[in-house]
Amino acid sequence: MRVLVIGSDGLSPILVEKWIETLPALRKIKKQGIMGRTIPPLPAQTPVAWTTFMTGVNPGKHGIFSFMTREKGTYKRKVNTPDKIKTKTLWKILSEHDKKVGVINVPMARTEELNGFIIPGFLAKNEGIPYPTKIKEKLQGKFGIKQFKGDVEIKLLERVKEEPDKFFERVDEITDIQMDISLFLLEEEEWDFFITVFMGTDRIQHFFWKYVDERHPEYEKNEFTEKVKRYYQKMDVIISRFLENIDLEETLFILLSDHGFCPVHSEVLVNCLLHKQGFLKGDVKGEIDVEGSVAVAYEYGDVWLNLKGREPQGKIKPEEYGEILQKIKKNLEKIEVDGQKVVKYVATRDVYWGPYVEEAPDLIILFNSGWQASRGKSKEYKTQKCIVKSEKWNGGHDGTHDPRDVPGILAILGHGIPEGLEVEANLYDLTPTILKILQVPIPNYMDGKPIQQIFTS
Amino acid sequence: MTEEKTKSKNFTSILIPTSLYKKLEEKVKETEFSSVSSLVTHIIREYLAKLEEEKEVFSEEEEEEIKERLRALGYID
Ligand SMILES: [Zn+2]
Repeated sequence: MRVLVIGSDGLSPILVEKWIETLPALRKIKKQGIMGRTIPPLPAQTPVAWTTFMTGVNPGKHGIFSFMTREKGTYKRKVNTPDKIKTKTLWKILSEHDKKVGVINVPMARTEELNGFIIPGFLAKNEGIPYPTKIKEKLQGKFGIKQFKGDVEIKLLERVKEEPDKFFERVDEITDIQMDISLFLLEEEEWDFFITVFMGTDRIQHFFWKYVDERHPEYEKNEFTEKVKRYYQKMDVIISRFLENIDLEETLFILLSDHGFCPVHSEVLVNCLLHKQGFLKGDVKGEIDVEGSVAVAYEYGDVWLNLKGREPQGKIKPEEYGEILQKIKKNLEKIEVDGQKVVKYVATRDVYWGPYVEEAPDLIILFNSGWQASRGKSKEYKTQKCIVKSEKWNGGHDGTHDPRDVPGILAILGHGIPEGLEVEANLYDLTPTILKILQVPIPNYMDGKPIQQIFTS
Repeated sequence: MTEEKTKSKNFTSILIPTSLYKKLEEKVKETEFSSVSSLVTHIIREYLAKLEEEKEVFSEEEEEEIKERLRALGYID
């Protein structure tokens, strides 16, 4: 048996369901195979989610809790790049069992010695540089490129509002190149496991979600609705191209996304709330006094306490820790705007298990769909209003939201797969599932379990 | 294709000092490896993996660069 995985970052099962009549490949999978959902980890952020997928464990074991976290024993923020992942990747395990692998543009997948090849993805140091060199030369020979980055350039992302057409065009272009490269390597290389992850769906939806989700208070159907839909149709064509190029008798086909999306209309300045509640104070320069405050929040609603013995200038005694944690949690959970609750709940580190739990934030605020922690204004704490309209983005998943409010998609087609079945799986179930299909032993430390429905016949 | 042919196509020999080979021959008994060849293959794979991993660690400067990109993307403040 072989396994082919097509990833689509942020592909939403809600939109697939809504547009299924215009998506023939997905309609076929729904009828002849499994169509279901993946539940992302907490937080449902791209780097955390893909790492969870590729390691088969929760963040307490792989150590990636967000884009950025605090470096232990300091107030310094570090970017969680792939070199900081603490557990083995699916493709490493497969390589060690002499399976041939091909890995293209998976976020958080870095160059490593494999029995096969890799083109590292988003956040990897060598993003887009094929490894080993043999693959680089092949791509250069065929397409004339030394590097493939599967993401839209910053310049275009900064001007999406002003020049939406240019943005959509570039996303299409990158998607086409990735499809060509992937199909070429699929044909050219030997593989037991092959994965390629497309980023377009995520980038598009952050900016254009309000045109496709009726739940958004500013929902508006216009040309952008059509543009997003057209991109879903493009992904559907890509899926059909891959299906044409494999033999379903001997290859299992999996389509998955790391999370879906929910509406975002307002942003919460968490530090402004902490300031009003007396947990945060400013310094003489008018900036947040991280060392002098009881608690500070960052871009994703992650709250960090200033604990004696842990932080260099700790303010809270260890015996006060639990009480203060609960106080902040209660205060945040109370917040309402026009009778609507802003915060769904505030999670503590108890949601994680494993050796790296203490690298997690002390609290993670899970916002109700519609709200998210402010990114651009996360350092503002003195403003009158702590909740403002979201200007840049109108769709989200990582702000932080309840993983169950932003599920990803999971579609499976292949020999012996039950027809018309709906399945829900945690993202960390995928690695054990794929190992089992390829008859490689599942390591004991893994949190995920193989998706049973696949193995019924 | 016969076993032999597959073997000759996928494997090659390298030279190491006999004394070192003898040492490894002793060591191999204490490991899960069935032969010196498979132990040496494992050691070389680990070595190559380590080289790759070292290349993947970010310098201060590179970390700043990636922060800039995340800022531009609007992912961090
Ligand atoms: Zn994502």
